[in-house]
Amino acid sequence: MSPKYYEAERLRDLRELVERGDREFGDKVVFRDLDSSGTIHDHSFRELRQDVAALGTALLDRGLSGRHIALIGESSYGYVICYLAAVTSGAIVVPIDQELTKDEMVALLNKSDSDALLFSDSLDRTVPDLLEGCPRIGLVAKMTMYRRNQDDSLNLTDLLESGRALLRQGDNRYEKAETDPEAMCAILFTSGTTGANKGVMLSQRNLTTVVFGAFSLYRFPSVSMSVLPIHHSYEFNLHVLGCIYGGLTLCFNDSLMHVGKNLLEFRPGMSLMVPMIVESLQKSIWREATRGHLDKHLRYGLWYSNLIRKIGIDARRYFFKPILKNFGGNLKMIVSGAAPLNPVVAKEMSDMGITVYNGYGITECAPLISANCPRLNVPGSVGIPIPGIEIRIVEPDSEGNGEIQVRGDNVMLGYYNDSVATEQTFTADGWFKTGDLGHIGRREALFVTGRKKNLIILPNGKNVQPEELEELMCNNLDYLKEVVVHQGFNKAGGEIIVASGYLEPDYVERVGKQSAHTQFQTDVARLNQRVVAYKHIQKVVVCDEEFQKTSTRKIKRHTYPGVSQ
Amino acid sequence: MSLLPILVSTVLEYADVPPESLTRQTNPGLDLNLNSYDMMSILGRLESDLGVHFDERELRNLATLGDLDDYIRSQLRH
Repeated sequence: MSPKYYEAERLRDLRELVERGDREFGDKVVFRDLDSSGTIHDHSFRELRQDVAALGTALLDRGLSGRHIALIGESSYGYVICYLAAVTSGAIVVPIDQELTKDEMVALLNKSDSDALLFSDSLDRTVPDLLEGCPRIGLVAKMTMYRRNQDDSLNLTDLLESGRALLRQGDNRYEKAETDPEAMCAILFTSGTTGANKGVMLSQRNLTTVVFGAFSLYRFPSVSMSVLPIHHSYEFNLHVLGCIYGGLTLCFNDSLMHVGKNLLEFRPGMSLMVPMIVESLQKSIWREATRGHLDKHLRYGLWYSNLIRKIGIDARRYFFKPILKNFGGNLKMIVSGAAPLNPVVAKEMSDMGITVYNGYGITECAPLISANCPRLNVPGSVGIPIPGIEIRIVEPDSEGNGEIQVRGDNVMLGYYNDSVATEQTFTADGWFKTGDLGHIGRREALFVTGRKKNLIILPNGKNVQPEELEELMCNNLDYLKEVVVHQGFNKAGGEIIVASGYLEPDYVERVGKQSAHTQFQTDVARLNQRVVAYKHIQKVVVCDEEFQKTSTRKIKRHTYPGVSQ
Repeated sequence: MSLLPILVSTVLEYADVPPESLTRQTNPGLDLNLNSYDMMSILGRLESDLGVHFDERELRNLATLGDLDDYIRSQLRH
């Protein structure tokens, strides 16, 4: 193996991952979460293995092997055992974003052919409506672990108890259940809820490949904190599975409202984040310094610290101890992914003692493709590929930028029930087309420079298909002749989603331009309620002329601000 | 009683704008350079300062400081 990589062990599947965790780390705490009263609950590697076996037995007893089990809920130990028990007993998991609207959830539950639904308490009031729209769903259970149900509905505690009882009676169906590591074990949805969204089919081989890849790049501190949504491949496949693999303790943050408080409570050494959170942490440091009239001291401290580091003296954790204390005192490392990270922010955080490594991935690659790491950190790049996969740049332009294509065990099996989209996204010789543009630069690191497809990537890592929002508006607003949804900026320079519309000239003439603009704005605000909050259009622009078109009458999207070519 | 003065003083800890520019109509996402994570941090602060519990699902559709004021007051009444 190249000296760029650490030695790491390849695993066959998730069952081996869980069993190895118990064998190697036993009573050590692997997950730490909070109940609704704020009480901390610890779960060991041994308990994880026992609970996964008990729940897997209960799922097999209910005939769910090979069936599709949807999971909707916030990050918790209960969510983790549901996912692992389903996959290791031969079912297929369908993680769904709990932030979606009811209609969006129904669409994905049906599109994934979900047979069962496991959900957290916060979805209690939504689930009856979901079930009305999803006649296929049979088994429904709450992921409740820390309190008794108020009603007689099935919950995780019941399933665990029934599984344990079966195991005590000698039921060995779970022990004997075999899964194919190459077969589909999860369906993850890309953004979009209409024709735009696709179900990415991942196998256990995909998952174990990215975990192996991550541990080939890093040696992690022993405690980490989870702040990203658990349904996302970046959080579950890398963070949750990675902590089991590496013998780490993962602490679940219970809400984005409580990140600061929970950093102090859990005192993690690392976390996986998106650029939006990293940038907010950096801003908060300067805000606090300015408020205490210490900003000049901080600037001087950074200058001096960087100076003495050049002669080999690293005193960052001593100089910036008061700052690091606000993050629990132990935070040394953040891996940032899912959206482009400002290199200036990464450098400044690193200068203060929290090294930020920028990585690159896509759900279709489970998601990890490449990352910067301690052995090779090239600012501005997304690092080196994980071992065992290949990257190529296709049809580079004069500056060397072309489409990034990937081949390897991290690449998905295809899109669920969508052979056309699957065929379109692979080349004839079997490479996955990421739709991103970039080049291989200094020290063989990958640089991502743009996008080939029309995708808005928000700083929080969420992706928005503009076509989905354009279709929603065109189907509902009679007076709208053409519309382009694109990234724009608010008054203070922050990134937002904008709809630029060209309205029917007769309509504008009849009601007047001002009224037409107001109506457009009001209607867009109403339509926003039909989609998840992060897709809300925050600004509308009325254009005086039709959009420029190509010879095939397609709108030239790149002529609008923030629209990628 | 309006909680706007409390909201304004908390928002001012995160946004570098003149206090008089913050009104019930201010939309933090549109008018201030605050991202959704900043907003969640502000809400976390308000939760702890005011001793209320916010339901994240109910917060999603609040656009302006006025909406937030109304929501928090309704929570406090309960």
